[in-house]
Amino acid sequence: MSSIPSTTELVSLGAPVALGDGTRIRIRQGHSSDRGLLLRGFERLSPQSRYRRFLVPIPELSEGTVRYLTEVDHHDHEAIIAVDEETGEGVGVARYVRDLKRPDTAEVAVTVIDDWQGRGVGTLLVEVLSARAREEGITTFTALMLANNSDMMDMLSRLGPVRIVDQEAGTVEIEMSIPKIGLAPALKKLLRIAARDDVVVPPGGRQRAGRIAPQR
Amino acid sequence: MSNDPINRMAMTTTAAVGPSSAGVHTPIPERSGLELSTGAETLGAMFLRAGGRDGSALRYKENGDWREISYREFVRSARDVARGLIAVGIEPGQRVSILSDTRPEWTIADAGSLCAGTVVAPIYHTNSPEECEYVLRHSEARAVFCEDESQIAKIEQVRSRCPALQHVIAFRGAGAGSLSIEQLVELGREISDEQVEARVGAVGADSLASLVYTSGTTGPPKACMLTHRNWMEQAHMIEESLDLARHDAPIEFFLFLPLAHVFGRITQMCTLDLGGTLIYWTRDPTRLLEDIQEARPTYFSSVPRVWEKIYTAATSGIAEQPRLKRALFSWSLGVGHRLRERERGGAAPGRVLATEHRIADRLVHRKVRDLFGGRLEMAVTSAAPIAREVLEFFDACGIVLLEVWGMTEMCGAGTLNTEQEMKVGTVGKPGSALEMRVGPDGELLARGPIVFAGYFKNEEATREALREGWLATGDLGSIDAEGFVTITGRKKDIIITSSGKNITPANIENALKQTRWISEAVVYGDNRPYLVALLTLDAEEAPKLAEQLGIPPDVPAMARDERVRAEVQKAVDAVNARFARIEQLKRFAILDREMTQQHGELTPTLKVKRAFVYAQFGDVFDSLYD
Repeated sequence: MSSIPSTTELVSLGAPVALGDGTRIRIRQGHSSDRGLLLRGFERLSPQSRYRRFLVPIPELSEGTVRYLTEVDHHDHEAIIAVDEETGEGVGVARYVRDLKRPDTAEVAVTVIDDWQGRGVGTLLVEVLSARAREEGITTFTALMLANNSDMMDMLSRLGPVRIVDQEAGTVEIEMSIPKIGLAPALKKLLRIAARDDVVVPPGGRQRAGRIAPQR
Repeated sequence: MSNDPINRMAMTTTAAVGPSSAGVHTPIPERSGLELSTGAETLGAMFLRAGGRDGSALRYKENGDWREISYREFVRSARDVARGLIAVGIEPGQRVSILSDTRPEWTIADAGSLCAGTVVAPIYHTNSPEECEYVLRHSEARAVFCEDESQIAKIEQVRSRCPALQHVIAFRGAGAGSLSIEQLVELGREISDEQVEARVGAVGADSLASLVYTSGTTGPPKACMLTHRNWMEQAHMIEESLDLARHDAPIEFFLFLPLAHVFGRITQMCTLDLGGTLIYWTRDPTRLLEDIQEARPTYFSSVPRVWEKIYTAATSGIAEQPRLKRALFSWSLGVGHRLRERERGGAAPGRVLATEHRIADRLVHRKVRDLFGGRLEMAVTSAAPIAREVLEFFDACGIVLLEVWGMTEMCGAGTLNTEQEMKVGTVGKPGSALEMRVGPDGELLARGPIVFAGYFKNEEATREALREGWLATGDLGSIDAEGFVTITGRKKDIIITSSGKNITPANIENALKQTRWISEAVVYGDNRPYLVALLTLDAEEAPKLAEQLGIPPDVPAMARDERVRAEVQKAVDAVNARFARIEQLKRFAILDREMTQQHGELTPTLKVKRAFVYAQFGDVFDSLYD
């Protein structure tokens, strides 16, 4: 089996994943029908998390923004979402949008609902997103984030070496090569569980998501 | 262990000080030369000891006359306030707020509260009722000192939502729901001086002394927990670094900065620790320079905004002068500059330069020094970056203006330029109570006994700020081979105006975006005297506004339309009413389109590129300061 999963394989990832605390989520691609999921998820996002995502305060999402974020073409723009298995509500989303001037490069953004932060959801989403990006010919991720957003920085650093390109106005811009390997262990296991068992994701922290261990 | 962070405070100690393990760092040298200091370990003990001093503690102007309060009177008053607070049932460690402009009563209320073993949580006198409510509720203040009727009125508006608040104590204008200072003192008659001393004695160096509120990235301000050790170590560090403690005559410090800000408050503490005199302004910003000239202080600290104002006042009109006068002015500055450089290099000026300097001094320098009353020995600028030309101008005129860098989280100063060790363009060397190094991402890290104990009721923010004993300052910088620190940028996305106020743009931006007509708001004001914003009209709402005004629904045309501006102004006014004066938007511009990815203001994932907006619309922002 190739270390890079195909879209078909990813779609099959709608199987449950158990997080370290026993809660279960499903990971899948986002679609235009996820509009309600996005809006309800946004309502549950704290002002701080909204600010981290958009770098400005966002009291509500405009119609245009909702369309932009849900109507993804899965080529230049991909969204991978995590859904709480119990409630069916969205708990996180990672997306890339290709830089049209540098087609091998895309900007990445990750959001996880506050209650679900620090439990490994973001790391899982980024790993799956990386695989999708590679599949679509994207080799470099860029990200603009608040300079004090250590969660995002840690999450990306776990994926591979991160280079700081610019720092200004309280933000930091980074660039990184999307590793060809490295996300494989986690994904392989994810794919395996699609057919068999659940997996346990260690809670956030410093551990690499690659150390996912089968649940006893 | 208690759940109350205040009680827990007493059981923890501040970060241990020792040699750093990695990176460029400056170790903490030996302490020396604090002859004039009370040498106290807590603020309460410092005040009580100061009661035995001769001389004048506070000087202020009332009804046109300058009046003085001796150290004995000052400390007597502080004890009276402390007895009153004990009498009305305020327990050690409980919080007491002060809501007032800078005036002697502030200092007395502060000293009194600290002598009662309480924790002082100051509120900016310019704060809106909502903002006052936040501090009172968050700190669970049991009492608040209010300056006058207008401040009491603010508290009355929110009092029912502040369950812990039991006493409103008025400096003046006490009404039905408040106690006057005199009444408080009267109630304290039954309390003995020994009880006050016992309260002071029970406070340890690691007990909490104050909660100082400072801006966070989003949402409400964060409360820095500052211990008695933080304050005393900081005071001693400044006294030592600036050589204030070995002075022949007690220093006379002009005070106008808000005492709710750590910079003003530490100035107050240093002066009183050394037996100096605090001279208060008359609280009229238009009279600031006149106040200083009359007060003739020997020391003065201020924020860049004020130095820039004085610089502009001193240099304005020069451009319109005849060529000869203009030439004379710039020659004088050049002579002053050369002389100072020689002096700093340890060389004598030489006969020619000395003669030139005498002339230049009489023609120009002395006049500038006279703006400060003619007795100024040293001045400090801090809280925001200052322009090099402003520093060099005062320096050439013989005013020792030292740039200091610091933050609330270190109880005031961190690095200082001093008369002996000064490098323009840097913020000086770390003070003796601080060890500094540069982190892997270029962030300045600091540790030492002046570093705060964390944010009150905010463990997450505390964890982010204090990592393995080091305070992440949020500023990017470098430390040169001689140990001078240069600030190169900021990690935190806050605005620091030239008045030194840290402002979270997100709060007012959020409020603006919640109004009907505004879709995007980018607030600007770093190193500027006030806040401005670039606004965009909400494309979904614009047609309705056009209909209401009877104009075509064409956004670019609407952005230029005075009637649209007037409507937007109404929205801005309503938002401003919820913020303190300094956080309000003074002017704004309306962009004739939405911000987009194509124009570069948004990233592909729709993040707003603030730095790009600031650069792209630099001219627009500049025009809002004309």
